[in-house]
Amino acid sequence: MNELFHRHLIAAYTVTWVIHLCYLGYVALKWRQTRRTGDQ
Amino acid sequence: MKVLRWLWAAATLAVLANGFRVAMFVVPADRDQGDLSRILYYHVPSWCGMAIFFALNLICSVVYLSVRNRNRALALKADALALTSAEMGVVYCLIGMTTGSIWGRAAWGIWWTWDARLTTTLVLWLIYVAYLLLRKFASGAEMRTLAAVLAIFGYADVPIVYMSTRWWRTQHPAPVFFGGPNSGLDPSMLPALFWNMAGWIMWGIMVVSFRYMAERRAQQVEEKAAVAALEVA
Repeated sequence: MNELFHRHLIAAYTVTWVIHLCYLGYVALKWRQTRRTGDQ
Repeated sequence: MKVLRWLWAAATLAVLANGFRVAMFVVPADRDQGDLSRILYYHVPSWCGMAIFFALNLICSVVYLSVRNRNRALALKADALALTSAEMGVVYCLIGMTTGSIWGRAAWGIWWTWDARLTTTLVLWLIYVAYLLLRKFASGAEMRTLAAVLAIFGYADVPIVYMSTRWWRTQHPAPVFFGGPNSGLDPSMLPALFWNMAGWIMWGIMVVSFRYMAERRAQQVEEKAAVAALEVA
């Protein structure tokens, strides 16, 4: 097995991206909500 | 402005992609830990991001408290930035703890221990989660004032977290940066750290700017509703 693809290394990088993308999704949701209420 | 935003997003992704390439394929593995040590290139930038955004939250909270009775427009802007920077700081803190826990599991054989650095960091995260909960479940000018005061007291834990590995020698390794003689990274490993640090800080600025604009719009809607309610009365 290639040591570079150490499962803990992959897990740490994946978790970082998943958490950032979840928060980005929340921000996008807020952005859409406020744009909709702002237009009314 | 829209073009600038897209350019910033493209530059952020390019820097992060290069940071990943340098971290995984260019810099050498650590002598003792091997490739596991590459977690450092995502772990340390998370702490830098956390420190930057909690510091921004502190500055905005101080600005809010000092101008709230004199300059309402500036106070509201500071308040919106305080909220968004606290959210981003909480995200970075969570990532720092999670990547640290994964690293700890591989290096020490445990996910968590009540070590000084880990415990003070968990307390810091809980303080800022409490700050966000206060903002979520209360509203109005009094909430903003209370939140700003809580943010100032909460920030007192940041230097404790930073100094914890210097004051108490427990499970967490001794400081790698500014830790005195024999500390520091090998110069061959620094490019990966700098690229990832730049990339994740740029990412934070991008996300905070979007969140800030959404929060400002929410404030304006709230203001309009308050004025409309007064006119009806």
